[in-house]
Amino acid sequence: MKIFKSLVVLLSVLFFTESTQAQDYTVSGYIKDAENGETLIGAFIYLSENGASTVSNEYGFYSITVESGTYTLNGTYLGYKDVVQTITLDKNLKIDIELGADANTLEEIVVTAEEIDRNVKALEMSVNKLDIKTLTKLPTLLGETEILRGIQLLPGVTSVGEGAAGFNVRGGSIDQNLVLLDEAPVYNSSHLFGFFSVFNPDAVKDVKLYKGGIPARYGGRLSSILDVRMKEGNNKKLEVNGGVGTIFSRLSVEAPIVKDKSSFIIAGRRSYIDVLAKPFLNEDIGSAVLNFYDLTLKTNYKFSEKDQVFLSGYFGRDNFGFGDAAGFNWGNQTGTVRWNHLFSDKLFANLTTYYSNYDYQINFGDTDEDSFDWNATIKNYSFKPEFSWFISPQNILRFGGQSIYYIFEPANAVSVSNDVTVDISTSEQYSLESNIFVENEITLLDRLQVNYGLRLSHFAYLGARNVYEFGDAERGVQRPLINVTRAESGEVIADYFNLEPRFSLKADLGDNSSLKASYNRTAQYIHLLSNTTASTPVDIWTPATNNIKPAMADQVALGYFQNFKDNKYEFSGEIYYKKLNDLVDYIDGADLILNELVESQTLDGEGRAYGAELMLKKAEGRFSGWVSYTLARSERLVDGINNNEWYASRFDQTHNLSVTTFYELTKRLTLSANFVYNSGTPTTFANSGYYQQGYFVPNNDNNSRNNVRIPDYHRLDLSLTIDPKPGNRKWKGQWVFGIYNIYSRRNPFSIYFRQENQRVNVGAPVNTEAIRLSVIGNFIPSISYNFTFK
Amino acid sequence: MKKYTYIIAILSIIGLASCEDAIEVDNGFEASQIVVDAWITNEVKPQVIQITESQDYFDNRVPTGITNATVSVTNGTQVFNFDHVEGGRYVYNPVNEGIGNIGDKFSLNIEVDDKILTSSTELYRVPEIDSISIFLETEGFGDDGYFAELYATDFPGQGDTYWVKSYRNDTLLNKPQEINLIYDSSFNPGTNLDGVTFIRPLRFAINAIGDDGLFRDINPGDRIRSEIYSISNDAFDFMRLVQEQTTNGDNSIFALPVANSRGNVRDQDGNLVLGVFNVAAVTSFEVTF
Repeated sequence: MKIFKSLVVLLSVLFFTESTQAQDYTVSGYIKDAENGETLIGAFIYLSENGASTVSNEYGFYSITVESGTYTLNGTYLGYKDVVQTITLDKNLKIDIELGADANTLEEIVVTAEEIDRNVKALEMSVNKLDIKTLTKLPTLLGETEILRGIQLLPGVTSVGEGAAGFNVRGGSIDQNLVLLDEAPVYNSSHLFGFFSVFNPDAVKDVKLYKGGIPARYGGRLSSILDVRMKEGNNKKLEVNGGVGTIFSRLSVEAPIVKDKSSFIIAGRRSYIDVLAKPFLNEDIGSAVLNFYDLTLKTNYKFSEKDQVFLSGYFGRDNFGFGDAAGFNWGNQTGTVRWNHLFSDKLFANLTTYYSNYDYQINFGDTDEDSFDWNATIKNYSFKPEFSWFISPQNILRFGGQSIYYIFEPANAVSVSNDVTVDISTSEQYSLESNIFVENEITLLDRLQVNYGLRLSHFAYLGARNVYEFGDAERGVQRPLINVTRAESGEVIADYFNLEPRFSLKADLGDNSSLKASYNRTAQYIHLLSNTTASTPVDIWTPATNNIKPAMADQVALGYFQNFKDNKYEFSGEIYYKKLNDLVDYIDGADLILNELVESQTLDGEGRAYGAELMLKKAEGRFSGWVSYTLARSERLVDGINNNEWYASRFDQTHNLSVTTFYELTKRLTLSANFVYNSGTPTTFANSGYYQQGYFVPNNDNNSRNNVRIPDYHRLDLSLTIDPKPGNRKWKGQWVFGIYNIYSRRNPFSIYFRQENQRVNVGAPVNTEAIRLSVIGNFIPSISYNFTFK
Repeated sequence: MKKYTYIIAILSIIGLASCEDAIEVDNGFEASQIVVDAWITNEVKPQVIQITESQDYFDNRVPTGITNATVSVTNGTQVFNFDHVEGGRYVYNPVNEGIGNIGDKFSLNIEVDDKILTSSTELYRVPEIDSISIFLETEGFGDDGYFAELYATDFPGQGDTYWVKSYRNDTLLNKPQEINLIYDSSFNPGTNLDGVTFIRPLRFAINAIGDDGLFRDINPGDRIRSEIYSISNDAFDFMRLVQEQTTNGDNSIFALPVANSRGNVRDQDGNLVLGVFNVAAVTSFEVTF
């Protein structure tokens, strides 16, 4: 602690000396793609003379303050031609840099679009960026470009299995990832359970995953932040993109509204699995509805050099229905308004307000006498001002805050039984989450850079609603209700306050290598109640309450980063240790949905996760790609489960290897392959069984949890991309042919035990068997066609 | 869990090349334990308690009986002795009257070798069956045709738990998918539904399920019989887990964690042993189509 204090003192001294220097001027502006006017996130801007440098922020803004003089200003971004211009800095300058595509590298695959030595030079660690152009060439399931499947090829990111919603980061559960679409949280990131993600690749500009070293400006979840930024829309000319795939067809239109001032993008996708499936459905269910779609919109307007407003929205839905007899649908909606304002050349402000909603509806019954209607939602409204003060190239101060108001409606449900209507809704929950943060990124000495920050977060669980108090019970068994009181509207039922320190450090070891370290504490105030192997769309979120505590995590990570051969090869190696507290778990046979007293079904536990992640990347050339390997462990300790001993979590994978390669056969032909191998995830087997009223009851004699491993998973996928002929034609088409799981491995999702299907005669023995469930049991070929018109 | 069967139906229609194969696994069975299967009623007919041993999950055989136990049930005033017949079956034959009435409390006492196993329960109320109706169903997941529906109404007041057992032409519908448990009028306590007619999925659950997992229609001449047993909340929780766990494979990728059913019989040290003691009141109804 003492060290920390003296560091703060040291930093504040630096801070003041830097800011009081005389005769400093600022060059600032936006860095953009010359062709379509899209701002570039994470582009590198530097002055040749003194090496002062910066990286453009999430809105493409940069600012460098140095002593007056004549400088050579460079703007670089991988895959683009460098822009070099001489500036005379005798006053503050506004310079927007437009980078043109590099003719030589245009058709070449660029594994990451960012400055070339970022791996080593950037302060951040445990962060991965994915480029959409790279993603489109990856072999994928049914040929659909998938952000969420793409990130699973990165070290530290796993999934419980094919078709499962969400992803697991460094041993965390799926609800510990904050998935942001233009800053609004997306509560269910999947279409069709977990097969496809809700993000339309045509509308996405940038994807960044923070697995650790999470800066103070982010928070709310324990394990990761997936920051997805949408395109602004071409502000130079009309551009139409689209594609026809096996599952979706897509179309997006972007164009300037007022040239260089305002543009928009509208992008939509719809599945046509229902059209394809129709001939295979029998007449009974010929009236079946089976589709999913999403619509993404964004527009912006530049009021002045200092003010720009962005409006973005997302709407997606999955629909399943069987005539009037039954229906089931779910989806997310988000809306974001953002206002960028420059208070000065050095002080950049962003104000975000958003609305986000996830809801589902289920209905059964085609008669008035008997029916069942049920819907549930989680809604939230947020307000979030953030400021970045570019004091000097060596010193950036960020500060801001956020408030989120949540409304949870776990179930609005009406059951009609034999003409008697009963409302079986559970009561709504309200809460307010607030935080403020301050973060300072500073270069100490020449070779040492740190980012330290503090986040103060507060959560209030609010009325009006009933407040339940539960008594003690044997652990692992439902707790009895002992008292009910009523809280009035706005009354604080329970509140929590947490300090979340964040720290990361980078030390340059030479020109091509660096050592990085980080620590972060994160608090999470809302939990997904999910008890099944893969999360279902009907799983509900719950706030921290008087009975359910917020979860906390502490993570430390250490990494070594090196580039070889003129930055052609990038290597990174990291180790991490994460401690998780007050995680939600469940009693045996927990009843989590449509249950007013769901808090009586939860247990609290702790977790720990640790591992080593290695990644070697070849970023450019005819042959490019990356190899990622993770050695990890993720464990839980819950009183009442596994005899109160540590056990491996359901998504624990000891080894996880992925090899992703691209080979340019010709300028237009690219062959891509990816190979995935991971250790089997743990599951629980019953070892004995006994008869009870003729039923054969499985029993796990040791009461252990996740006591065996299912066999290892491996898979090879291939794809061939045919790019359009070069040249300035209006219409450019791209073909992608792929085969998923090329050697048809039946990878197990799980192994379960069951009794045989046939009816057993009374008194006869029950025959049992073990079943291996494979979600994908064959190779799956696909063809898709993508086009651009402009 | 029935809530998920709908989702599963959708998944199977999508039919994304998923497949299931029977495989051999090592489940690490170690030793057998004593099992008490003591589900009796207050009916005037032979009452059976079985004392057996648990076995390797994959043994695929009838259980080994424990034949040297002393088994009795008491309602506080009378003691009913269950005598060993064969293979671990212990029987009491009531004469003229059953072992008790609604509200009576019962204790089970079993002595075997150096162990004393005990349990206690209460005889709970059970509603009359109003009717079994037969109707034509042309929509839904099963066959087109005639199906039966059981009409009965839960008592007002929360916490009544029942087990409906049904027969088609004297064949007991005993598949795990056919276990029909009722909490008040619905599936489980969380719904707070109380005192109304059993909800439709439960009324409909007296129909047989075929090997394909779909409901089988009934034919002219078929006899349909249903019985409602009153069971304790403990027995309900036990059977609900039996149902969840034995049908968990149907949940596909949404499987629930493997969990043990928790009985209500304890040894002299207070440890739970496998099995349940329940005394039920029974109502029944039979129709011929």
